[in-house]
Amino acid sequence: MRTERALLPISRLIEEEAMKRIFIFCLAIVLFSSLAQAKFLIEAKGSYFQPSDKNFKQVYNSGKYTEWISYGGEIGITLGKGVALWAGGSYFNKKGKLTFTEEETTLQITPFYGGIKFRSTNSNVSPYLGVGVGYFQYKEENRINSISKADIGYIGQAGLLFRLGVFIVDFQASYSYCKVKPVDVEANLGGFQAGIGLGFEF
Amino acid sequence: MNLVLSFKMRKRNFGIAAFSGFLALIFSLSLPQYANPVYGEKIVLTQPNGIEIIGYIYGDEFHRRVETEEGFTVILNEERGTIEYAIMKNKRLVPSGMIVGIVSPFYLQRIRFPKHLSDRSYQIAEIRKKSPEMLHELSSFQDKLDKKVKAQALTGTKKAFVVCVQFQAEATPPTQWSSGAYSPSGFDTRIFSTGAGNISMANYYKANSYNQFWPVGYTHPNWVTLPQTASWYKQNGSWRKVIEDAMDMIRSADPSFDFTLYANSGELNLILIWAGTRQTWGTFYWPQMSSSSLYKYGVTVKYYNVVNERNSDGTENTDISAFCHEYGHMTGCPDLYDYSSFATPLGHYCMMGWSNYSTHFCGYIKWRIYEWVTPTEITASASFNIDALGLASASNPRLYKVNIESPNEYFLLENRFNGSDSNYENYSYRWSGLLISHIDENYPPAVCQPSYPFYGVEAVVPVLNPSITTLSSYTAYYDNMVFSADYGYTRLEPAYPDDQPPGAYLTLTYSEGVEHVIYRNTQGHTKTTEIHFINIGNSGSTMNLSATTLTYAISGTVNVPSVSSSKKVTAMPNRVYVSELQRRLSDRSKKNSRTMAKYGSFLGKVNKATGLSGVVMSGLPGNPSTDASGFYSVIVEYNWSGIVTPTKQHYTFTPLSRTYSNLTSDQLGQDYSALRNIYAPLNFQGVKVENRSLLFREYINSLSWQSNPDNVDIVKYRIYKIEGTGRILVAEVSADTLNYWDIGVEKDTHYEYALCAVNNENREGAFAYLEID
Repeated sequence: MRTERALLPISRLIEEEAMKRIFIFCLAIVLFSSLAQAKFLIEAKGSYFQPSDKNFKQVYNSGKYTEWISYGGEIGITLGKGVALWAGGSYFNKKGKLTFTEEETTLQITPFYGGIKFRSTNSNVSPYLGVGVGYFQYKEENRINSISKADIGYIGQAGLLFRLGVFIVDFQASYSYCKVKPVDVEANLGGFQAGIGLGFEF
Repeated sequence: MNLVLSFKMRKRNFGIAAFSGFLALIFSLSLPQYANPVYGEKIVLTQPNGIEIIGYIYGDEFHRRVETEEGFTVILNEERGTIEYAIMKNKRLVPSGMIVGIVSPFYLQRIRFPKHLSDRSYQIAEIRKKSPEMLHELSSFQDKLDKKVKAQALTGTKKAFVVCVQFQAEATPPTQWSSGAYSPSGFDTRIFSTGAGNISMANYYKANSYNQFWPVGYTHPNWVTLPQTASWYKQNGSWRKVIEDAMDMIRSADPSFDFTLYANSGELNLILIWAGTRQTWGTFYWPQMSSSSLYKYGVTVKYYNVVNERNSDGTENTDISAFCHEYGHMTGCPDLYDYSSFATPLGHYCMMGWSNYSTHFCGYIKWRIYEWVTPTEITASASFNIDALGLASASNPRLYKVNIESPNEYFLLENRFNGSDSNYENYSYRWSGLLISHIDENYPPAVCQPSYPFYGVEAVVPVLNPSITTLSSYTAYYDNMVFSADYGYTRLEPAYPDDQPPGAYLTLTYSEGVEHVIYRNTQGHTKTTEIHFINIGNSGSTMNLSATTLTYAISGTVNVPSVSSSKKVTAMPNRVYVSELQRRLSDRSKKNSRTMAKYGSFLGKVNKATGLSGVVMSGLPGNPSTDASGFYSVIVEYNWSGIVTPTKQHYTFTPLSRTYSNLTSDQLGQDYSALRNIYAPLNFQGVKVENRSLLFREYINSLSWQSNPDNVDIVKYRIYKIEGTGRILVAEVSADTLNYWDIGVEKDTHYEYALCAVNNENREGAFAYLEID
């Protein structure tokens, strides 16, 4: 079985650097919110994932639609004037078939995001837009090869947040983009997602 | 004078009385008989008006025919009592109304009245239909021969009992005389005397057997008078009654007479001489031999011979011929003439073919029946000396044997030299020379079978020509059945005349040139080899000849693929040297049975394990096929050349063919190894395809094919990758798998593949090839 052992030190460096940045970003949010007495948001969500890479669709196109759901969570802090900082992550796992031999292959994508949102705060219904940077961990295993690696991607969000007291219902759509080429095949791990989140804001 | 008058009166009366017996060709005898043939014996017949007619009689007790000197057949007119010229009507002889002695033979010749008419075939057929047991036909002769071969040779002495019987007086006895006139002691001398120079049956057998065997016995000293007339016994048709009455009369005259003293272990061989003559027209009183189960006075009358006392002219029958012939039957000999056609396949060269004591038994009888002589088998080309069969002592072999279809078919060569035995092999009308007789013991010696119109014992007659196809033509050559330089017949070789079908002819070279002669005996034989006898010398007590031995042995090996299920390796055919053919040929070669063959016989076997049937041997005459055991054989002409190629769909043979050039020997064991073809799979094709996941990809050469419907016993396929001049095994797949992925190939590399089917003997078949870029 071939692996990309030779690349591990570099990816580990990138990974460590990204983690470092996200940690600093989150720390800044916490510190900033404490200073401004901002509102906090926490939610759990599930989204239907529609990859944008056609090869992704071809290889992992089998199975029920529920297998295309990624699960995740998000936290955020409203800084005032509709600006909020947010961070989140999700988990996506799917089985597919090699394109010719139809042997089994598995893919696991675990992205972590962080970014800024802009939302209306005048009513209990708040539409919002957001952008962020993502740290995409991925793993694919099959008879040809297997790999476990991470790479940086991007995400854009749009949604509608309903407030019922401290409870929130978040209808969200997003588009992510993360182009990777661990060996010799280039692929985009991102795509369109649409889902719903439930949580609290206080 | 009185005697003469009486004789003539008796003959006149006899002529009339014989009417009643003339048509009595159907006998009431119940046991098989052996006949006593006569050929053209001169007799005197008398018309009712007293005119004497000279006739010549042909026949035996089954049927007789009388001809005039000119060859016109005559017959008794039953109604008128006259002897008339005969015509054929409904296959039978009937009187024509033209009385012999009144109608001139010159007139008959002028009107081309037919000669030599005979209804023998019809009459014998009638007997065969109504009383087949009488003719015995020798259909079981082979059985007897087999038993004989297992028994001991006829050597030493054997007892016989002779009794002369006379009848009660009557006006017109069928035997012309009722009382015996000549002393039984005369018959005793002629039968049992072993005195030097005496002409006797005992001396005949002594000479024939080279002093190994002769009959001994006792002749009752007086005529025994039977209680009935000759006509009575004839009407009852029972020789058994004659014998019973004779024995009773002997015992009544001498109650102490002990028959057992003259029997062989309780079996009495009886020779009975009846008073008077044979019947010319009738059938009962004719010399013959028969058997019975009569048990009387402590003995069983196993065999009995009956012979006439007088000749037709009333003189004493001093001829021992009938005694010798009939005693031959008594000791196991068959008749060597055809009851139906009266043809004699050995002519005047055997006592059992015609009854004449101036002729020895032929070599066949002396060897196969009596074992007095053992033939020397010719097994190689050489010159040979052969001493006359009649010589009392010989320094060279007296009999040679040349096998054809051993052990039942062969040639016998014997030197028949007149004077080699001054008394018993000295028939001066006959040519001296080398008698070459063809023997086929699969058939009766002298009975033609519907499927085999030749005789089991038959001479090769040198003077026949291709236009002669039936044995009736033999008659003219009964005295000329030998080869010798005296008459220009020095060579006997087979050939194929251009205008005749093959297999039945010989080329005969003689002083006036070369001609093709019918070799009757080989017709219908598919395996007959041709025989060469050359340089046949002059007749003499020792003759010489050369025999050319051309044995056409074919030998070879049989390759049988080895089947191994335990080893997954490519098996190469093992070589096996045992086959049915080789066993057959081994026997044949051991006996070296083929000699002087001009035709070679191809014998071989095309084998796939136990032999492969239906293989066409293209190139051989007639393109023969192998039989169920894989065996093939064919006769080819001497000096034959050609290429033989075995062919059968779906098989490949090793060798592919055999080339023969100017054959001068048998080619035995021309075997081939047969392998079932394994054909290449069909529609072998392939394509290079990409096989990928999201993040990885590889390239696969995807191969596919179809099974070949002409293949059998395919268990797997082998896929090879061709690299340079080599071939690397990539994979084996089961027979029900018809595709293969060569995974991990390079995207831009050219690949070549070879695919073959593999059978249950692990043998690879033909390859199919494929290139993929």
